[in-house]
Amino acid sequence: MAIEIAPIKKETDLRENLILVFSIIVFLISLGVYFYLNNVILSQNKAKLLTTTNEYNTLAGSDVRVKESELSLAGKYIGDFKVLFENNPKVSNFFISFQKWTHPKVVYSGFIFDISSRRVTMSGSTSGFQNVMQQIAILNIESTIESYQISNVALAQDNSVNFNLELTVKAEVLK
Amino acid sequence: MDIKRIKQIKLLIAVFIFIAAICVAYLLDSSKWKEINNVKSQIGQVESLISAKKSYYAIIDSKIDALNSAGWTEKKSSIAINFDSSQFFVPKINSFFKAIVASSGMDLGTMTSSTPEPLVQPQAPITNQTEDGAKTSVQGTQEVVQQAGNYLGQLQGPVKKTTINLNVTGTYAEFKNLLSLFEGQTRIITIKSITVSTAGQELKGKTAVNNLNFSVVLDVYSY
Repeated sequence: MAIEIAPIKKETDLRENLILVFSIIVFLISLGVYFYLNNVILSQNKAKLLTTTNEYNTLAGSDVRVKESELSLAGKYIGDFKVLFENNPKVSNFFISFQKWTHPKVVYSGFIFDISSRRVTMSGSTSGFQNVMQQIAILNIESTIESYQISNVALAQDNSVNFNLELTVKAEVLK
Repeated sequence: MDIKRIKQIKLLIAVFIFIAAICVAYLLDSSKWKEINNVKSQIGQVESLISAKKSYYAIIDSKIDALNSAGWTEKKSSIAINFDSSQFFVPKINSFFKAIVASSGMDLGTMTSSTPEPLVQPQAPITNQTEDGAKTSVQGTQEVVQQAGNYLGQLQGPVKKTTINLNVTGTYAEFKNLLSLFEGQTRIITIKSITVSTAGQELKGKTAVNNLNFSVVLDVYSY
């Protein structure tokens, strides 16, 4: 009887050991990641959040409220001054134009100037009708006058001619 | 124990440990990761708030600098008289007009002033009834503003006006000087009407001058 000499294959658990070691390594990595995230990354971020929040809370300078109120006051003052100034009629402009269109031989009196309606009422007196006609001619070509009306033209006992003049000046005159 | 049994046990333990590792990764690691992301987003929000606040302060500082470089302090003190709200406003106005009339060379006759009243007066709402019976209300303030040519609606502060009746005597040239003095003031003086009448002659030196009476109605402003 022949004897077969061959090595007997011994059953080993190397594969299972490798799987077990691999599982343990994965488990340890998971736990390590957890502790790293919790103790390092999260605590760092929380510290940074705290620092940033503190920075935000302490950022408000003490003089900001003062500056804000100063700006608000300046805006109100400048805005209101601008509105009032731009809508304020320049009455002296009327007298400049008045001197231009007044006939040199006509004397005006009883002068009433209502600025809101731009209406001027006055009484005129001159030495003759020719001066009145010339005054009318001047008024006709005067660019600053919107409309005018001469009424109650009358010859007085001293040969002077009296009349009433009512006119409306253009809005540009008072700007 | 035979080797097969040991293998099975090891495999079982390995599977159990692997599942535990997966659970740790899924439950603990992912929740921490979410928490970290949440904190990071909070940091981002606070940082953006800081950035917005800093830019707001920078804008305020630049505006303050612009005001200061434009000489706001001096200009404020000069235009502030239009927005005076002190109790002594009327006495101040009286002395102001006395001084300005005197500097024009005219004589001040009488001067009366009204009490300050709001430029835009709030009124009770006007209720209108339409054809179908529905009621509509119109705000009184808007009506007043529209009547005044809309510019009153642009006012930001509680502007009040005080109406002054000024009776002055002097020559035509002096009155023109007074008007130019009025217009040269930083105190805004709105002339509403001028009435001129003859006041007679007066000797100034050796020459007789024709004096006129000027009755001026004007408004000055305060807060």
